[in-house]
Amino acid sequence: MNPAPTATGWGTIEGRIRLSGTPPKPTLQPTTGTVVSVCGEQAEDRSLVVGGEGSLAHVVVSLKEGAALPAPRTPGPEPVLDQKRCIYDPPVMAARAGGTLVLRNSDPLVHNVRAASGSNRSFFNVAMPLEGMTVRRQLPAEPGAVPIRCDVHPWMRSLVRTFDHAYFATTGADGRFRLEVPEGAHTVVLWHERLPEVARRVNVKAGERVQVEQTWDVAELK
Amino acid sequence: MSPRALLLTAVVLTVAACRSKPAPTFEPLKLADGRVVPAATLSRGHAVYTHYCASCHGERGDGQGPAGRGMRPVPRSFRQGLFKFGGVAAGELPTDDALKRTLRRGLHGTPMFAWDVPESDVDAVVQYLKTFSPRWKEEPPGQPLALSPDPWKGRESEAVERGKVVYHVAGAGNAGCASCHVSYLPRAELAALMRKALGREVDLSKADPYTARQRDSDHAVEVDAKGEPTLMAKVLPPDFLFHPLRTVWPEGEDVEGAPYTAERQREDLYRVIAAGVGGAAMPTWKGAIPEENLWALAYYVQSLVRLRDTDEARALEARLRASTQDAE
Repeated sequence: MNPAPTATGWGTIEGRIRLSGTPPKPTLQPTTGTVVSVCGEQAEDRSLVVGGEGSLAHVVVSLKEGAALPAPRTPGPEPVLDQKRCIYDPPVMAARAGGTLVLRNSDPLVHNVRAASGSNRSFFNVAMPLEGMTVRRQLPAEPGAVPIRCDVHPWMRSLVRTFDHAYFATTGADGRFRLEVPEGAHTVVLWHERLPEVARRVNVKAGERVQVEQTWDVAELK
Repeated sequence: MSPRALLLTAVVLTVAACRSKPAPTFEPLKLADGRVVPAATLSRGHAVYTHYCASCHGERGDGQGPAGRGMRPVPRSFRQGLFKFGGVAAGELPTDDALKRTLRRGLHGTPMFAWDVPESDVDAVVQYLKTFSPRWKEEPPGQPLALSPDPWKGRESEAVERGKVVYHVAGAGNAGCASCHVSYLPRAELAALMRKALGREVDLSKADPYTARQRDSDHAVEVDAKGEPTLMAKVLPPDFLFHPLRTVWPEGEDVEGAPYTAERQREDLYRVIAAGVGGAAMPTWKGAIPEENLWALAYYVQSLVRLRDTDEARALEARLRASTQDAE
């Protein structure tokens, strides 16, 4: 194996992701009787969050060959998954495989956080009975998708995409993302749970900003 | 090898060959925790497994043996490397001690009986079932969750009272078990406890705190031709007044050759509450609430287990279902 290369120059990949057409109304699920006072009577499905001008939130943007690159200049923030009004915030996140995931309970009721490795193997399952409590748990070492759920409130679902590198970002409510990368050619992968994955080849020069735009159509929604 | 031993080997081999398939040969199994299981142990384990386990758990270890069809709960699939009662935080690989305990004691209320596997074979079969899942080669078993000293010794009624609150209320060191398991307090009493904990009114007039809902599990009910799970079992959180608990026996029974005392029963309740149930909804509670509250829960649940399937239990259930939010 070659030693990890050192980057000489850095550039930026940024862009805006959109969904064209009229998005379907999010489905609402009834909550359970005893949590209504905290969580409301209905919980909204947040697997598709579309803002003004079709801005698509919670798209995971990553570099395909990120593991071969030198480490980013600035480490990303620690991933935090909050439980608020019986909903996971954010509904989708990106994190390092084998890294630490911070779990927070902002509700005055008990949640459990069950994370799976792959589609059907419980990886951890922690009880979070205290409002304001935070626990840290290690994510599976194998990169992939880590579904997270609460068994007390079965409508609560979240997903953590994990990578064997740190070149990832998620789009904000405005559909925008920004990723600082070493200069050179990169493949940018755009992933959304309900849309077909898209890959873009970009060439980044030191000190430059490269725009990546993507618009999916509602007809492509799963 | 002496001529006599050679002859004996030949006879054994011939008999084995006449039976059905030839016995498979094994390579030593390198476990992630550094131990290496010798081929001879796996070979012995295979024979023991074929004799005791395969009819339910399947030759392939997928829980789909001919006698296990339609069994509920489903026989464990060893291919998933996922166990309910592992003595470790739910989801982690179990300790050998926990697997042996299950093998010696069985699981209460299921067809997993306390098989009288000879002591010398227990280790062999436990090691053999590690050949079914690649997990054992990739990760070491979890850290065993030790029993802490019982802080309530000699103060049982105090412990039961504390446990009642820990069970029914979430927050402030309490667990809120009644969020998934059924509640054992009448509506008015439950609402008062919740009001005190949440600091606001709780309307239980339309809620049914006395019926539990099934929760998803990661344990396969059906698998495809490759042994991959295609349908997962739903698990009902037990109602302690009526359901037998898998790792808890009635007091006074003989368990592992010794009378099952109240103390042993509490320790087993503590174990399962602390660890959680692997692959099921029940999370790991150790570390989430203070140890004294964990033990208080063991005392409280024990007080319910003692009523199991009695007229008193049925009367209590009827009283709860008929209760109203307004204090009588």
